[in-house]
Amino acid sequence: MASDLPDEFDVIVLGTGLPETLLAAAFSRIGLTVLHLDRNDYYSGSWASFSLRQIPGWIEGQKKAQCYASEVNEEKLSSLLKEGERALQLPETFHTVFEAQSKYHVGERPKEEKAIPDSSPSTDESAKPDSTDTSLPPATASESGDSKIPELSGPSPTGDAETSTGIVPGQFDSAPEEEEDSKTEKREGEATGPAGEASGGKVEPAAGEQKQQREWFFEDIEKEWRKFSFDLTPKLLYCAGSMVELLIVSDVAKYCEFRTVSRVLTLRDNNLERVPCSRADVFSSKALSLLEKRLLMKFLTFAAEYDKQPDEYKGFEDKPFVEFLASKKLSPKIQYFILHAIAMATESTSTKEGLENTQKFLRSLGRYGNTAFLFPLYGSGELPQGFCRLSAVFGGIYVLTLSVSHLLVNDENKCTGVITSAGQRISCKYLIADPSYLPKDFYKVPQESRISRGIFVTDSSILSGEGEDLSLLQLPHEGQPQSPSTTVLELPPSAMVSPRHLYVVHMTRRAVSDISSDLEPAVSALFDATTPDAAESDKVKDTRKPRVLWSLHFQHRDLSAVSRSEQLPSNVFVVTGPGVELDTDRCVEEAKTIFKEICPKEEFLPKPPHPDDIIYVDTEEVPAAANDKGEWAKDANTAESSEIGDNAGGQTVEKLEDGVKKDGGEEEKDGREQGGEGVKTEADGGDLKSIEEQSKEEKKKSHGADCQAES
Amino acid sequence: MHGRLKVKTTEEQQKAKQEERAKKLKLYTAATSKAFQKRKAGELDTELLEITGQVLHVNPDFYTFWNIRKETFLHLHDAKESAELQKLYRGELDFLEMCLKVNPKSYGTWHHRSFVMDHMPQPDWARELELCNLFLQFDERNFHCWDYRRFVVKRSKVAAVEEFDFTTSKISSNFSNFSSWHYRSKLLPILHPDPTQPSGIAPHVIQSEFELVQNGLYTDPDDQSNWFYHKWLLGRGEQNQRINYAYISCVKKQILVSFTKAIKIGVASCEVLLNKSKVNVTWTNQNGTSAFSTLWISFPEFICL
Repeated sequence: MASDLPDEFDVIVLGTGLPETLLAAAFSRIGLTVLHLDRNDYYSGSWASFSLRQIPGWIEGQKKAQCYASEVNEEKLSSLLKEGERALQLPETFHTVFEAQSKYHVGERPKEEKAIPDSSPSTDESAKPDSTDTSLPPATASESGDSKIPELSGPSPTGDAETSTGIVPGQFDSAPEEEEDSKTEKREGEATGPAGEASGGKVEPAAGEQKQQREWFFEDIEKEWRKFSFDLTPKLLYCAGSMVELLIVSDVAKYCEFRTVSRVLTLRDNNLERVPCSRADVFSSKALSLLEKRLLMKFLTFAAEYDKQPDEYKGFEDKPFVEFLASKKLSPKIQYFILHAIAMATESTSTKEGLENTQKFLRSLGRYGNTAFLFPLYGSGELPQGFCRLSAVFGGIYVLTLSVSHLLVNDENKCTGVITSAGQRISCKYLIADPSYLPKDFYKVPQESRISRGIFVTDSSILSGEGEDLSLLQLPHEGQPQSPSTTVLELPPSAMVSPRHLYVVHMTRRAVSDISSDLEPAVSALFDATTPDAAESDKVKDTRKPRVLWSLHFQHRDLSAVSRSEQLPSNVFVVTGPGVELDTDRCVEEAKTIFKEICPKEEFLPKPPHPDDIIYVDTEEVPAAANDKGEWAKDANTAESSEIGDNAGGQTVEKLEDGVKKDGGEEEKDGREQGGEGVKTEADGGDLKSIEEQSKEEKKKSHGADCQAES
Repeated sequence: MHGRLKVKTTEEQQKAKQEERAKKLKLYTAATSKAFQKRKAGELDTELLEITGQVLHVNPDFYTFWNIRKETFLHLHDAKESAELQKLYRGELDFLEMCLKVNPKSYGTWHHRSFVMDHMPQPDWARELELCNLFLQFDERNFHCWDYRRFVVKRSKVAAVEEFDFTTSKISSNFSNFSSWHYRSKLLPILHPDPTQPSGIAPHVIQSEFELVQNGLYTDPDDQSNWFYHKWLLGRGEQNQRINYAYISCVKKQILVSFTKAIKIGVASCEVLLNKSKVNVTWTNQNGTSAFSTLWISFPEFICL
């Protein structure tokens, strides 16, 4: 199998995290041969997104932290070396993730519950409240375990779960919803039987969400495992940031879909509030007085172009941003909004940095509607994959579950090639690697730190509104101005990372101590800690906090500030890992810098040619021209033709821009539905997408085939 | 070199583009002249619809062709069954949507849509309102669409209060919207009429509108649309009521009075004194009704001195 891969590449890239994939795409794009390896059996490394059932496997993998199993012995190694070369063994294990632990906070569906879908709706209504009161499974039963999901993981991931618990999926799907709705009405004490039934037919997901307090069980969640997509590193995109620019210019935008972050929240005095950020928000905000509206707008207008009016903040440059805001005679409420929600600063942030952040936020407003941020549908893990795909379209070769065991270095401390973990020698001109692939003395970590991460599945939004909102919340830790704040990102079902009615909440904070105490303040501020019993009796539904149904905690080693060390061979480049920041623009800059260093005269990810302008080379000609690489070349070529043929090239950027323009997922969906009937472009867009989706899947499959061929 | 796409050079690209254009132009002119020929020969049939359709799809602003289509449709009214016509018109609506995507601000296209809706055997007005919603979602300031919306609302008798709520939602998502404010100014007199004034608005509603627009003024004082509406609210003409001109004819036994401001006699009163004593007169406006007017006429019974 070693002979399956060509023996020579221009660039070898280790790891499929975001910066690596940007570089791989950029090099393939200008015609360099690229070999892109990942030791994992999934794409995106620390940037990946997983379904529910993939999580336990990932946790196990992180515990072992094995980079590769080398098949190379000393003898073989020396036979592969050329004169003047020495082999540097790469670390066999690497720990990036610590204390990973996933947990269900719900019990199994009790026996009598299972019978209910068969009985008539009228008896359901009377039977249900009783049964929920008496038959609640103790949530503690599931909390005893460690990282491995306790008893609850009993049903094997082969699909037995549904059958062994005796739920008939179809029946179950429809029945509880109607039941729930009428139950809701009953709780409000106004609906009688018939009224409940009448409204029970159609559930409006958004409106239902607010009041609905459905009882969730292990089976309900486990059954929908495919619909979850948990980001190890959730990221947003500034609408006018460099990542969005790059996606448009490089045409990778056509591989992804986005939705807007529809609201920015703050938590003041235990009260969640929507922050008015844009003109429209300020106009319709009821939280602000007329005078506050003017003051806020005046400040925002100034901040949008603060660099042109240096007199306004003279003397404050290095003083804290808080002091500057106070000097502007803004009301405390506005100061808080600007500091925490718009500038996303802490009390120690300098005025210059605060203004920079505010400006970046403001410049991103209005491009895709009333928001400054986009979130990639299906999770942030889609981004690296999009760039991998571009690289593959332009001939990049991808192998998963293959790593490198040795670097070959010559007398001049230049890397001449690698020995793969499968024992093949491959020469290269440049090597790009995620630090976790390299020996520790190859890079410098300025300050060892970790990122605390929490992922939660909840049963409602932290602040229910009219539609399904995607919310961003910065949570400062009161009384500790120096303490890092927690970034909370709440993703609704329309972000395509969770099934209907369930929300995924991400928390990210620079680690201060251990994982549970780091996130504890945010968890207790936002989520309902009471047992389901107590929640059931809680009559004030409006103030009800969401309940956590499932959680995953871990700490991630922060490698976002690594830099090269003297030992690093000059043609080896180390890229950074994900950090606590909200966006991905740093990765773009980083990739650009490395690219410019290697190819100073080439353009970084220029716009791909229009499909009409591509002249296809006959497949027969190719093997002759490319000799031993014939087989690979053919593969690459077919990939190109099928993909580029499918997509209408230039149009797709417009499609992205049209598609995202609308605010909120609700509207977007509406638009699409109507598109089916009335407006044709939308329908076309949909078709196009599905074709893309298909070819994407094929692509994944073919990668899978590659890997199999390797192993 | 493998793995690298061969891309056409700019000269090749230009040449290909030119050829493409020439081909398109040829088709376009051929279709145009064919359509005119057919019209001259009086062949107003579905084939003519087909030909003009091809041209209009590329250039929806070709208003002559829209007229040819209208003629053809009217002609087909005699030849086709109602069900067949309905199908034909349905297709026309779909076609119009395609054209609107080429240019959402084409006068001809929107006008033709009104024509189709007026002539269709079974028009679906609810669908049209949805279409307006969709287009206004893409561009809330497309006044062509606002115009068409008012047409739809008028024909399908949508309640003014629903439309008023719609403008409110449009304004809260972007208050810099002349069309929306304007529409409001047209709806308010219907929803909250003031009995003392023609097209007047009840004072308490003016107050709440004033508060609304004030939000906009404080949010962005540089935005014109707020000030326009503000001016309209304030400038609801507190002009003094005076008599411009009065004419009394003994021969015709007629009194004509012209006021500076429209009044409604009955709500307001207008008395005639003859030698300091009141004379009973009945007033009508120039149309012979008692609606608001600046001109009032009376034919008194008394005889001039």
